[in-house]
Amino acid sequence: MNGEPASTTGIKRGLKYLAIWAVFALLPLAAVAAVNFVVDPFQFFRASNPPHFSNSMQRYQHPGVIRNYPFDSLVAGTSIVGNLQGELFASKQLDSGRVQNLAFWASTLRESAYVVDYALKMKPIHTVYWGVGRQAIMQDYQSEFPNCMYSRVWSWFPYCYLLNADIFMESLWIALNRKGLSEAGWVNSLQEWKAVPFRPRSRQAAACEIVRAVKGDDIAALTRVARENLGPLEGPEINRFRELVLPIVQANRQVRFKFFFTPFQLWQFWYNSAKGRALRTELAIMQTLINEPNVEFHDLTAMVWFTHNPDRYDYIHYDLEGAREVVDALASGTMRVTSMERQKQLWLGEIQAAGDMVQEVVSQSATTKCP
Amino acid sequence: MLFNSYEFIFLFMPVAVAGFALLSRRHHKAALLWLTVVSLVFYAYWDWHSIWILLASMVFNFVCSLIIGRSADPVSRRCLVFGIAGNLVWLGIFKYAGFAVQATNDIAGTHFAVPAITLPLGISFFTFTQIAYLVDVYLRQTSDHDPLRYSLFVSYFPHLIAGPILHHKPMMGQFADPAVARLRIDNWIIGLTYFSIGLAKKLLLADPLGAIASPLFRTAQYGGDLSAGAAWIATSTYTLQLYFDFSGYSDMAVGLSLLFGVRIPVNFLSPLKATSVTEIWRRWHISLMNLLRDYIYTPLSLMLARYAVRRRLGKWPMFLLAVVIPVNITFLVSGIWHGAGWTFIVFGIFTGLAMTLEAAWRRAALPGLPGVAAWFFTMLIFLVSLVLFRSADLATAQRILTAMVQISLPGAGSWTGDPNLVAINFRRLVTLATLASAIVFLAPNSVQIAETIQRLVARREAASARLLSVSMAGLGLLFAVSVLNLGKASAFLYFQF
Repeated sequence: MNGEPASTTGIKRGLKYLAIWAVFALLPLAAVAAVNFVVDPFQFFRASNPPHFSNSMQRYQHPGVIRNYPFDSLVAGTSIVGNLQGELFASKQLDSGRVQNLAFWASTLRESAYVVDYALKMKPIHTVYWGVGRQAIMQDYQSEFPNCMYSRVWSWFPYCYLLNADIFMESLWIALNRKGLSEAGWVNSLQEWKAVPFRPRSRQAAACEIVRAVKGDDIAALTRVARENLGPLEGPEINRFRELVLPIVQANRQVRFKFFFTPFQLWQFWYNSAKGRALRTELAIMQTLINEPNVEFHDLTAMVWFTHNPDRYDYIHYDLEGAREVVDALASGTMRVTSMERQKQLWLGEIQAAGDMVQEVVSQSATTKCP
Repeated sequence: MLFNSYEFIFLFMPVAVAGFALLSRRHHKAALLWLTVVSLVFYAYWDWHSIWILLASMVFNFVCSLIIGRSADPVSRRCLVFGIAGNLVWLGIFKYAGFAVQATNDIAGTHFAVPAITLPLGISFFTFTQIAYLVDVYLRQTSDHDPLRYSLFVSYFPHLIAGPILHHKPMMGQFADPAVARLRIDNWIIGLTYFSIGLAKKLLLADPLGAIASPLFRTAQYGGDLSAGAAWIATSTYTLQLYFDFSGYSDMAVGLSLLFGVRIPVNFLSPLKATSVTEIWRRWHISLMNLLRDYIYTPLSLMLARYAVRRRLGKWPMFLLAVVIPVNITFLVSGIWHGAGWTFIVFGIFTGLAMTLEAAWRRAALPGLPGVAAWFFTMLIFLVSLVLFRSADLATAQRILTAMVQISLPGAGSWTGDPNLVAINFRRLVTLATLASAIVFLAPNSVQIAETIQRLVARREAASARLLSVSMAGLGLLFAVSVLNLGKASAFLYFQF
């Protein structure tokens, strides 16, 4: 391939082939971008009439909602806070105005931070209710996240939206009025958009879940170690939190941030403290934020009347009444964390109670028929 | 920055190529400097915290090479040992310290804190490349100590993160030749051919296959049961995913490099068509295998063979010393090179043993298997090795391998009623598997396609021109379809090494 320079004729011929490549590469891209811009299925450029919102492609839907729909405050987090709908907040007569839920399923802290940051940059926000879930803290992945849609720099040309085959297919189904073929899971209202279905399970299923998870473990020893090692823990997770969340809090002093730990069911609380780093990291998160003037921290794992009741959970989500109680707790401030030391004592008690509960379930497992 | 990202394709690559094109017309050294700077920007864009690790490694090795090159034994030899040890310690700190502490804790029952050190991108690639350079300087096989060309050789962005692993001799030679840097249209045509094919392999095949394989491996990792069907689907789709992912990356690297007029070695030559384990490893990750062959296997084998000859050892002791030991050590190193974990060590040992058995079979002059059977057994061994390679830990690998052998007839329990299989879109799986298999077994590989295009470019007749026009249109379209799938961009699997 390397050798004598090509002749002028050779260069012209070569340029012709390069031009053919470029035309066939760029024309389809331009055509797809044009279709996506005109149809705008995720309402990035303009609100659609009638409105529709995608459930299964929520990462693409948020920017359009933020840009084109009015709200004063927002809820961020994972599916665990998906049922904290605006109407629940409205019924509490809070001063946070119209609340829009922008939590999304299986999101990481990084993704939530992008959503909150974008919303704060795009419009005045009064309060951010930020549910800090364990999965969101511990995992960090970025693939399949349309970063360009959350960038103000690229607002004029969101390339990852316009040059996207999946968006193009959605544009086609909408343009052809064939929404049934869509994979976006369209719903027609903002309330419906974030609703997470609750699928209760039997007591036996709940017990079996515990038995399977702790099979072969010395529960008393794990409980003891968990109590002895309770945080705060420095590590990559808390570094990520400082890198992603703290700057948003500090750059938006006029905004009130109400962070809250979601009410995990008791045995998972124990499991995370005994076998994982999550609980210790959560203490570090609290320590990081508690002295920020525009931050409140609410620990809803202290809602023991339902965290101790497995009937109110499916695998990970709580029931719809739970969502109402979470909003009540946030509104009343009864679960607000005021002292790190008190918080630690509270969690030590919870770990012990959880360990005892797990021990009891396992000791009864001989009579529990697990599939 | 990923090759398969909008930023790279529409911003970084055009700027890098345009800058190089402008500078190379006037000032060769400025063009090389430009390429070095954009390479460092490429690295820093992804992980600017680690740029100092790359720079420190380059400076350390360059200084070592100067001392080795300008002094005689024993100073030269001592400096070589120091240089290699320094590289290995450097690599050990960043890549293996956590694993070593964890392994010590597991084996000795100690409770040392496991350091959480972030693995710098491409550290295994740039460390091994530089060790090879030091050895060759010591052996007086190179005398090129130009700092700019050396910096570019190590940091050259098309290969920096995931190879192919470059050898200094052809690379420094090309960087030294101003004629190479001169823009050539045929290089661009071939470069875009490779790049379009590589991008399509990654985005249209590897990623969708990975979307099927990954949840199944994850299920096994978290203790879930897999049926035989699910286990076989997981391993087969992962094998195809890894092939298309890594060979796609390598094709893109070769193509990108050609845009700058620089040829870098191809890394894959239809490995999944191989009919022996030895052959598969001659066609898979060729640049790593060549490096290990040249710097570990051959010297070790020669040394032990000479020992065996001196001692007048018989046929089988000679075989043990000249083949078995070097092969197994080489593949153990290969396993450790790939990652810090027991799975990689067992992967290396398993592959070494498989190669040993094959070599012993040949040595004993036993009859070979017929083509299809040989291919089948080769793939079986390769699939098992990749289960070890992919699994998060040995328990996961064991769960998958156990599930794979619990085969029963379809409909007899192992293929039906498995929730892992229910979650799979079978139409998609069959389409992907058929397409991927057709490409692997029936289509020419990237090198053959590029050679055909090269021949067409050289010919003048109308039929060739038409065929070339159609080929370029097809490649352009392939590029467009791939770009439209960038929205699901994921990292290349070999970035973690």
